Amino acid sequence: MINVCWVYPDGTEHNASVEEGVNLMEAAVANDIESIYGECGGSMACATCHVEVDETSGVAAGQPFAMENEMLDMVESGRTPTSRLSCQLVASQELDGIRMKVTW
Amino acid sequence: MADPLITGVADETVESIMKEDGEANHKAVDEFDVVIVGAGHAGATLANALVRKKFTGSVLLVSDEIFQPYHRPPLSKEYLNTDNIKSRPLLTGGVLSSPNVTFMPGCRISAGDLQEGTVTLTNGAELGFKKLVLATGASPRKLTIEGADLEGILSLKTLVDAEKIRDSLLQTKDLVLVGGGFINLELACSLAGAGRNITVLEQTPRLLQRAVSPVMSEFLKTQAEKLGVRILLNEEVSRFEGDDNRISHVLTAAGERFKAGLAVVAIGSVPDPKLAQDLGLESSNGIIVNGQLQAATNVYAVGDCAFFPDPTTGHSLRLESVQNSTDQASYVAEELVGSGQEVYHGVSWFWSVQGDNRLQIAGLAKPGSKLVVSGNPADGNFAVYHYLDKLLCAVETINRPGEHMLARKMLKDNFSPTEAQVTQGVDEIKAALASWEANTTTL
Repeated sequence: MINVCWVYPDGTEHNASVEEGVNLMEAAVANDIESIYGECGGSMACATCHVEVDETSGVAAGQPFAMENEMLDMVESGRTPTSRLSCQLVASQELDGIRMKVTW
Repeated sequence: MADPLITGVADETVESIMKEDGEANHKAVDEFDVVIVGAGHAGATLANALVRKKFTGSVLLVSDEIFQPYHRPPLSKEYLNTDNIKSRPLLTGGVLSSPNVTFMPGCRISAGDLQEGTVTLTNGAELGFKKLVLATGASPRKLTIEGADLEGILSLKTLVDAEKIRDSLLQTKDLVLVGGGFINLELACSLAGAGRNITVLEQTPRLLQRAVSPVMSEFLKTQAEKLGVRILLNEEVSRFEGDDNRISHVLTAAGERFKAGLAVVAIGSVPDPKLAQDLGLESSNGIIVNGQLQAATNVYAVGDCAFFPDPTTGHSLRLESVQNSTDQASYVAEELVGSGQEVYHGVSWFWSVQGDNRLQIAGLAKPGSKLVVSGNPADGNFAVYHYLDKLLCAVETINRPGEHMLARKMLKDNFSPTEAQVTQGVDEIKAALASWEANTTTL
């Protein structure tokens, strides 16, 4: 299990323990995180799981995959340098303590 | 914490309802503020949306399956060819833990009195509702030809169907897929290789005739053939032959005979016509609803089962897609929490994964539209723009997810790029859209 934190626009934090191997979109849906829908089930078709990784936590966003990169250019809430589609972030020890800003 | 979604809970729910029934047999025994019939993408999304919107009323979600709601698209894709057979849940944690939401698996609606606000389910429960939402979906169309009842002739809609296909794959390498639509093409590409002989038989002159452009049909055919799939067009299946009550061959009207240990028939889906009839609702190609997705007072229909008006054309249509189910469910959730809205207007989008290729479609292809191709299909990276009377109506993309998102935005905003802009590429289109937006805002 790793610790994951979603931060809402008003600054409120929503923490959860996530089993390794689960992608962070699914984790968000399981934890009712606002504005993360994952309509396509993680097929990289809908871009409804956009997050901005807060690197001050010490966990880096990493590089988006090629297709993900294209989608991120078009996300409605606007792309930032640490934007990711959370369906492509899979819980692992390296992501323990990750903080993600959710926007809407 | 009690999990309201484990299968056994349904019986307890019914029992407790029955107990409360007592003497008043003809009265509704329990009343829910919202009864959702069907727990596919539409029904599950509606339950999710109600909880997210802090709806405080009671909600009953009825499913004709025994499982918790799950994502269906993977069933024809990675679900079949990986060892990881975990299905992906659709319901949010909030729905699962909400005391207001009851999940009732394993039953259908059998009768109803919409005036009285009651429905009867196949497990015997009689329920009252304030609002009823029909999200009953559509079922695979069946072939009514000789031999169609043989074992080993399957369709694919549910987890159970997918499991049957997985099981059959252990016993045979000879697969005949009847119908050249999305499900069978995804299946063919997912299962190609591993020494399997896969043949797709399509009745019309091209694949996906009603859904995509001829350029796209040809591209997808070539790609599947590269994976070793045999695709035969203009082939009408006339008969199945069996051996010991199990399928052995598929025969065509032209007299061809294909060896088959498994046949998957995927030739479209149809909503249950009896349901509308039983409930006294108007139906055509689905349950007829108005612009607010209402089939009658206090009754809505959403997703694959709904025949709804398209505000852009004025014509009604029925769509089978995750987007349509999700958007219509979200719209009705908004209606149920009481906010006034304009009529439902969704921008259609769709995706399919076939081998290494990701097809995405924004909008709806219409007959007679003019096609403009950007990029080269031979490179496996291109887009097809559809114009009707110079207005953009659909965009198909292969391996261009960014351009797909852009297309959705353009369709939503009613912006049509020129043909020249399209052929110059996505940056040119983005610039044109940005400048158009700037002008529109100024006005």
